[in-house]
Amino acid sequence: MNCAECKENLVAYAEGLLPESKTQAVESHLQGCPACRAELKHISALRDRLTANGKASARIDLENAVLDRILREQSLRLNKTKKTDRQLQLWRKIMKSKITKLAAAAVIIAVSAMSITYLGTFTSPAYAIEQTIKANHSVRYIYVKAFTAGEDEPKEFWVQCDELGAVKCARLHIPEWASQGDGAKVVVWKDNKAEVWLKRKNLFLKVRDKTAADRMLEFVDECDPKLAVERLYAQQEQGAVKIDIEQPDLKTEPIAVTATYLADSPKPGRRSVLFVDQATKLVTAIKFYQLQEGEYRYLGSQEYYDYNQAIDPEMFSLEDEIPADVTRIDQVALEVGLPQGSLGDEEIAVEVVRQFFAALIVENYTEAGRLMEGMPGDKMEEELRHIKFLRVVSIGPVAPHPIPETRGVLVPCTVEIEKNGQVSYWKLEQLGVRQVHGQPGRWTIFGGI
Amino acid sequence: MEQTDKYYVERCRNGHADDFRFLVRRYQGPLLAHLAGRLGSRDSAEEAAQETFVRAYFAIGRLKKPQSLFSWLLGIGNRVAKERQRNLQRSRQLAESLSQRISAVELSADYALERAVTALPESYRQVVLLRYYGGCSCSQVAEKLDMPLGTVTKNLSRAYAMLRKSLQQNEDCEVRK
Repeated sequence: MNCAECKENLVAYAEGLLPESKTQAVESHLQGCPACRAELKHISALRDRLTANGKASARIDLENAVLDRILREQSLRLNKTKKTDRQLQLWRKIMKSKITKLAAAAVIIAVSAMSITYLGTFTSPAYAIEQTIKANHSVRYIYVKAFTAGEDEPKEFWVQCDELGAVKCARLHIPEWASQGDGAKVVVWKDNKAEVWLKRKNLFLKVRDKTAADRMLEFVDECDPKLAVERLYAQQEQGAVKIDIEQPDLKTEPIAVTATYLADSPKPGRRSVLFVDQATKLVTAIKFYQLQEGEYRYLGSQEYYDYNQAIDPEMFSLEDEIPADVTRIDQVALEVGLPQGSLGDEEIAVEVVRQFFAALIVENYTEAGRLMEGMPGDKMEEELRHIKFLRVVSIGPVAPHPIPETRGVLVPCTVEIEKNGQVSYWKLEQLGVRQVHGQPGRWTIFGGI
Repeated sequence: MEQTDKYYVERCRNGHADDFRFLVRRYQGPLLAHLAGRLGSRDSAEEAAQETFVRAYFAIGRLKKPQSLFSWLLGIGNRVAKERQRNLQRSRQLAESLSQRISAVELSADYALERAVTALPESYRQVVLLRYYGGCSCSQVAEKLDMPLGTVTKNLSRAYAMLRKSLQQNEDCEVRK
């Protein structure tokens, strides 16, 4: 090996990348060549210097600082672009009348005036969660987007509260992925009545139902920033969470409140990051993470918009939005099903089914529909016109419903029918009967037949 | 197994912001060294590196070749550094009467080396940054920069020669002063 060859291989040699034979050749050349030995010494010295410098910079860890900045920036950007595309369409509807626009402006002015006086009475500039709890008391209107990791479309909520902070009206958009049974739906809740528009089934349901209302309020509670902050505060008092507050000097940047649930808390490994607007002390977003394999994994987030921007009352009624050909079921105006009277649960279930088929045999579709959740007569006729019901062969025995949440029973039965000129038996195994939601003491067939 | 840059870039694009941390972890060392060489101060290099990562995160949708993430990051870093230098110059003009240069305390331990690395031609610089500041072996560098192992060692060899030369000149300057 000559000097040129040796020099060519020196870096690879220093890196230990040469095969055995070449290593030996380099080494034997080095033994006899002071120039190449000096060259190797230079290389090694430089390598040491670079390695030392590399190690010095490795001590700096930017990871958390960068991620914090990204989260904060993201929340700012989301709030800035909030009035675009899809949301714009909805808000156009909300803001279309001059009166609501002015009302919204008035509310905003009132709120900012309040927060100024409020801030004025506060001596320390440091943020404390109590400030957000206090600020929340003035909230009457809010719009919430709730994102789940892995899903693009958020659940959306519009909520209006009364002076005491109790929910007065609410509107929910539930995307397809969150409602596999019913498909995408819109629910509006007002005056203890719920309107449900099942988009895929093209069904519009009006109910006065405690259960539906409770479910709805549960949903709203989950997404209520006021409750989120109060719960967090309570958890902190109990020592279940550790709270870190980071208040940037720049007043336009949100305060980041990081709540980490401790190992022995009800939600170990959970971390929520609340972004709080510095001026109003209201929460603009909450992001949820779960510790998994040493990493905080993003679970989802809730974003809060348009605090105290009055929501058009039309948003809380679906009448103008639903398609003309939708099937309407109104369990508020119409008494559906049969009253139980002195009959037992199984007896009334059988009676509902018996009267349902009796109505179909005489082609009284309106009556049959009334016994089936108040389905409109013309819809029943459209669906069942091609079948001629001849007689009931058997009804029962009554069995518990396989899906307990329905709180109903199964009434299997067999009827004799004529279809396309052919007479046959039709066995219905899955016919369900239950109490009418919001109409105590009445029973109805539910679901499809 | 360690995931590729491309994998994490895709994850970030699909809304998994948290996965960006892996890319930060991977490139913070080389990026910091690069920026320290340009800006001459650890503190401002750190700030510039943070800024670079944040900008990169929000622009990640526009990154055409996820496999060239590193050179893309260096490009953003260069722009951030340039902006900072401009701002610095403005404030420096004001402060000139007070102190002629940035105080020596602010400089990193081996600023001369970092500056020499930053002054290397692009292809040599990337190899050095990944090898010494990114904790990569030569074969990992080869994989990341999509070049044969032989080219990596050859580039390293040339880079060493250039580094030596510019460090030598630097020392001569210091001596003359």
